[in-house]
Amino acid sequence: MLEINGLCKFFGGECALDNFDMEVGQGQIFGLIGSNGCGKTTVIKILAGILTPDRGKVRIDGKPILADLPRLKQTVGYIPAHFGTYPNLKVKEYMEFFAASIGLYGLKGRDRWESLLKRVGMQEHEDDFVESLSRGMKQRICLARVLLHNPRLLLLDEPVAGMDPVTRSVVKGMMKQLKEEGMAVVISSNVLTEMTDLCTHIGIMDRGQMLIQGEQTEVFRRINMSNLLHMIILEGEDQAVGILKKDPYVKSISIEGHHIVIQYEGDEQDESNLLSFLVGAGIRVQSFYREPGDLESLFMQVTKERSGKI
Amino acid sequence: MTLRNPVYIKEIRTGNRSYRQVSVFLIFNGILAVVGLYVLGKMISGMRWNAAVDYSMVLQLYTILSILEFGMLQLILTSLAAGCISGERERRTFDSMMSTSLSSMAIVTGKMAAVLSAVLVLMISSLPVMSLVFIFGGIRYLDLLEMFGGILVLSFCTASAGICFSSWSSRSLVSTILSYSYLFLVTAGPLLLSRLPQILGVGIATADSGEKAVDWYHYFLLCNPLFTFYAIVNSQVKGQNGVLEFMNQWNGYRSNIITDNWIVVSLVVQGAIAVVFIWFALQGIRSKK
Repeated sequence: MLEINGLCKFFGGECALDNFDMEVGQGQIFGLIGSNGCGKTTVIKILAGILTPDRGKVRIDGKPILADLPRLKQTVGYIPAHFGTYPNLKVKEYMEFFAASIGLYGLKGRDRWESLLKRVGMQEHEDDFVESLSRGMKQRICLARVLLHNPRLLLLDEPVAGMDPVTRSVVKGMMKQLKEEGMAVVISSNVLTEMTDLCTHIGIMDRGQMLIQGEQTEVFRRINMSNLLHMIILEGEDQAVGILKKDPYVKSISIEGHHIVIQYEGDEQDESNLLSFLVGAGIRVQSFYREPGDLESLFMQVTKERSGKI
Repeated sequence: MTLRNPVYIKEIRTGNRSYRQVSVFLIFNGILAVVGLYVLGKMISGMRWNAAVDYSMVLQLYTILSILEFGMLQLILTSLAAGCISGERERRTFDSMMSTSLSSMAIVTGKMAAVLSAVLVLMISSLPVMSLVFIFGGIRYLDLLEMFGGILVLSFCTASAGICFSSWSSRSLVSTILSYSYLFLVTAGPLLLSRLPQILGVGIATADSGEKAVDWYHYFLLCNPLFTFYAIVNSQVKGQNGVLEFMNQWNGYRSNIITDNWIVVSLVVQGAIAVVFIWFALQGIRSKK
């Protein structure tokens, strides 16, 4: 649905985006992960039509979108990191403002924003002033207002920062619903733990470049290849070490009693072959597993690799 | 159309709920009332001795109150206009607004209408004080309406500069300084320029009245909103715009089509400047930094 190719953006002489590529399909929740200042917000703002890139292409459904601002704004819904709420407006007035700004006036607009407030669990607060709401509640009304024009691509810049448990659960529930409805969602964040639950796809960026992207499980699988392989041998440790030493994919071995830890560069098939070979050689293997990775270790690993290259 | 402009409705709602608006009302009307009552008091104390109404005093009261009201409104609206778009950036609401289908024209129109509405409400709130001029007669309701109309048109011109600076600036302080500097420049600048030869002692008039064509530098006064307003009030109280009278304090200029139609010409000039400012304001909003 969304394709970004070779996006470049400079602020003064400084490069914020450097040949940035990204692909998001329909019904995907894409987590754009990166440290502060790596260019996440710049990508989101370009997609929202607030910034113009210096180079590169953005296509939605195969058609270039940046030159067609009205279509871009119809297609995209954007919540900035700081929400953009007006403290001395009531919730209903805030919704009325955004409904009117997309041409939904009067009863037509009211029906729409009332149903959305209900959807985010804020219908009881429509007469409250925005300034009296908690941060989580503000996030929910922002989510309601951004859905007013039924966008096909939702952009959330740092939405999980400071999210209370109720809002987190509402947002997660809504993300699932929106995904089922076929909406694509791009969420930028550096709170990695939250993104694991929320996203179907992830992309890790650093210094304006996309380092790795894809389905979350696939990215994990690719990165996990370099995670340590653990095995607990009940009988035949020396024989096992002998076999491991001959394996070209084994880069290092450490032994602690029955516990052998190896740095193994083979893929899942190679792992399976190794296990069969060990068992076939009469070695009693109690446990054989690849160290699981989490998003945080994945991020650290990817960005570290890049720093190493640079 | 403006009543359906969401930016205008939002501005009116947020503006009316601010403490700033209340204090502006109080100070504006307070100053106007103090000055109005002081001048009226002086008039009445004069009547005590001769039992005659000095109508020139009524006209003087009207002139003083009108110019005072105009001056204060220009200062107030400059502050309102200068923060209207940069304020959105400071509150971080600008990006949300820009991500909607609102055009930059709708944003500028809404902001301008909100500033002019504030001016209109302040003018209406000043009616009790302004009605002091009706006590002894001499001023018609139509004169007051005409004067208010003049204020509104000139306010549009001044506000356009404020909105322009605001649209290019990310900080209200910067746009406020620029807007007040512009207001000062456009008000004091042409006045100073038209008096410069006298100040420098090089332009002391030797010509008799009606002998000389108006010097070019006097035409900068066409950009001066205060001078245009002075001409409007003068034409009401004296039956002539008083432009030549002002210029001829040290000179002997003869009238021409511009001096005769000063109000219309200056409104056209300032309107044209306002259009340029609005065009730049639109570019400021559209510019994606």
